[in-house]
Amino acid sequence: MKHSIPALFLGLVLAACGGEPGTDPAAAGSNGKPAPEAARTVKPMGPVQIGYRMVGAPIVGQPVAIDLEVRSVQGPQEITLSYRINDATAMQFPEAQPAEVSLAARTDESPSLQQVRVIPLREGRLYLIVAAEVETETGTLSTVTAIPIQVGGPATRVPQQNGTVITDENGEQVRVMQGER
Amino acid sequence: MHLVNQGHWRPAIVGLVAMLLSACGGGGGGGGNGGGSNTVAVSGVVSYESVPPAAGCRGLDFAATVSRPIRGATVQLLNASTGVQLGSTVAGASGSYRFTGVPRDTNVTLRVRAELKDPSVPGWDVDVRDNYVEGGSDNGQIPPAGLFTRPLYVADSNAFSTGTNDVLRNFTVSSGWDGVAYSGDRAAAAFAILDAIYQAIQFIRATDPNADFAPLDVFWSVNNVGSASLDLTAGEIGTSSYFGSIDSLFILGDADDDTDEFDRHIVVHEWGHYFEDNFSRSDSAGGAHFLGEALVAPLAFGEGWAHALAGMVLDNPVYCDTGVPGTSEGGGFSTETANLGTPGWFNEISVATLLYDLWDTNIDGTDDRSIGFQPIYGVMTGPQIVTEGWTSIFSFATELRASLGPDDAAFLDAQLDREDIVSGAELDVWASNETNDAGVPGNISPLILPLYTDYTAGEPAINFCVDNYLDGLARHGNNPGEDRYLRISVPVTDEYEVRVVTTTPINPTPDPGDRDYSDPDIYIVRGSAPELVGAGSSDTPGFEPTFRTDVPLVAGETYVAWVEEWRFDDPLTPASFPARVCFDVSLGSTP
Repeated sequence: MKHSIPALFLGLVLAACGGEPGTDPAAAGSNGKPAPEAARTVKPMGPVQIGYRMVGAPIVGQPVAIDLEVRSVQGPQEITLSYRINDATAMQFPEAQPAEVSLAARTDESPSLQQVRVIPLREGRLYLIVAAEVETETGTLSTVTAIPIQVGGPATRVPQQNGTVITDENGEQVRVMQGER
Repeated sequence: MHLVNQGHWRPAIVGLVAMLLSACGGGGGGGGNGGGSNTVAVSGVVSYESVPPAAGCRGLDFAATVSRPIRGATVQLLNASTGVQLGSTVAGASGSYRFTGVPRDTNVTLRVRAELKDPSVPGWDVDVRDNYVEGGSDNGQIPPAGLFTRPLYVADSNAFSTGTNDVLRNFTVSSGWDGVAYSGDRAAAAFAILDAIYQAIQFIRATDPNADFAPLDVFWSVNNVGSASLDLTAGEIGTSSYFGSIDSLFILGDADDDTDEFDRHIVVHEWGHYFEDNFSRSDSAGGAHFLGEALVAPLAFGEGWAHALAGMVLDNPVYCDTGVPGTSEGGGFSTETANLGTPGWFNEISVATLLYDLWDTNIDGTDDRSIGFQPIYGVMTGPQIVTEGWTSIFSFATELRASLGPDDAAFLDAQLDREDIVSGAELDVWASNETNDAGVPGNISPLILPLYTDYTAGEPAINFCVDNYLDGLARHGNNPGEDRYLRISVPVTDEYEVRVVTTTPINPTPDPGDRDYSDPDIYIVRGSAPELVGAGSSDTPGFEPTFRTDVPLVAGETYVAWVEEWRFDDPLTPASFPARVCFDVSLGSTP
């Protein structure tokens, strides 16, 4: 038997407290509260907070800017930002856009500001991967976030394949993977 | 209310497996021969390719791949031509299996199912399934229809002949990595996840042989990606996570985005939330959190607990979160030595290192003893469940301290001192004597400590404020000061009229879509039961929580209330919304 208070009041607390940055209003209640069942514990992000804002509407073939704000929860320190596009058919960087930027430590608790530009190559929901890395006493830690860039119509995601789904002799659906090469 | 795994046909499978096991003698039973018999025995070891993290958690080190036994999973022997099952057994602790009475000269295939089944009571029941449906969408429904009957992962060996003599056939399930990229089926992934959970179960069983594990489903897919929105059917799982309402883990698997199947600490960390939810009590709100960030007390404890348990289960304090396979993306920290952010009750790293150091035997500064896991387990499965306050390091440490002898209590105090958490005789579940306010400015500090504000039901409204000073860029509403807690005394048994009225002047536009109106929420709980006695969380503009408690509040009992401004959780709240909002809160006696 569960005793957790979230289980008792079904995550209403949790939903109320657990909204994440960028939570999709479409998957939420009428005014943004996620459904109670959606409450969940998630793996931690690194010690750098990343905020972002699109500058204008993304259009195929035209550079679009994204304003970034980054701040280390450890206090002012140097932060290395790196950018990555996984799908080269979806977006590219303008030639002048560096793939990595080093941001000097701020003198106060305010966030560091940076702008990155990308060029969408097709319509859909595209992603820019931003990694913010800092040094800690025990090594390097980073926060990685995927910034969604909606270009035109809905996303067209190409699914990856892994094995084959069959119904076995017990009537159960199983995904059969070839275990030996 | 906990959602039962509706539509889950696990009992039927369990029964079937048990029947088959008895039919074929289970693992290691019987004995075939290659003499005059028409049958032979097929035996061997099933294992999977396990990919460790590279140094510093900078990606996966495929060159260092090792074989690990698949422990406790179901192994089937199938006729390779017809697919008919010839036998079924459960792999032993070393991955060993054995089938006897197998027809000679028959082409067969070994099939390993990504499941752990022990149908006895106490027992366990774990499935690793594929949540993704190509072209599908559930529009954020939790759980999506048919989730618990989505395909179970199985791995098949190449076919082989049973020949005329007993066969030794080992089967190592491949990762699918070809040295450069994934080109084959990523078959090992599901078994890597399963094995981490097997180890967690065995870790708990070593302390409590009667521990009974509620059914757990783990969903992984090569199409599971990090996302801002949730659509489990489409593989948009947010990130690797535990959904308490459906007792399910979701693990990232998209090789172009982030994979977590080989990040064993992440799997066990999320399983640690399952443990806290099912064996103990968690008042954690979940949601976003950054390492080293100041968090509300229940969240900090829950995350710290999960980190520490992962280190204990895996006997390795280094938590790795590797990124895209084939790259050096990733990072990690040591649960033994990490020091991120301001130490304190609000820091998940503080909680993690404290709990881990209570357990581990490595001498490290003030960490010069070990209390072992038994006392920790005892508190988590005992007094932590019925603590009067919210679950936190304060409730845990208070109860743990009471259960320890003087030397171990002093050891606990030293660890609390190290993390700048109140200790010794001043420690209590209410954090009454806590002074660490996370280093916030003087005008914020009174909103963080004292952790609880006293209120007597039936008295005039109490006014207090919440403030999102610590929320930074994330706007997730999980920081101290954004939620306030009341400790409520009840002089008269009665149902009470609960009212929360925003007193800060806010002038929203008429359009509710602007999300610029105050939206206070309140939850009232009797922790000692524990039970929810009332909640007000409507998101209707201008509709302040006003309701009668669901049950009478009992005179002499202590209740706690959680009050928050939902707008602080809402990433779409306009910047013009006040950083500080105040409320009148009252529990009025009813006629």
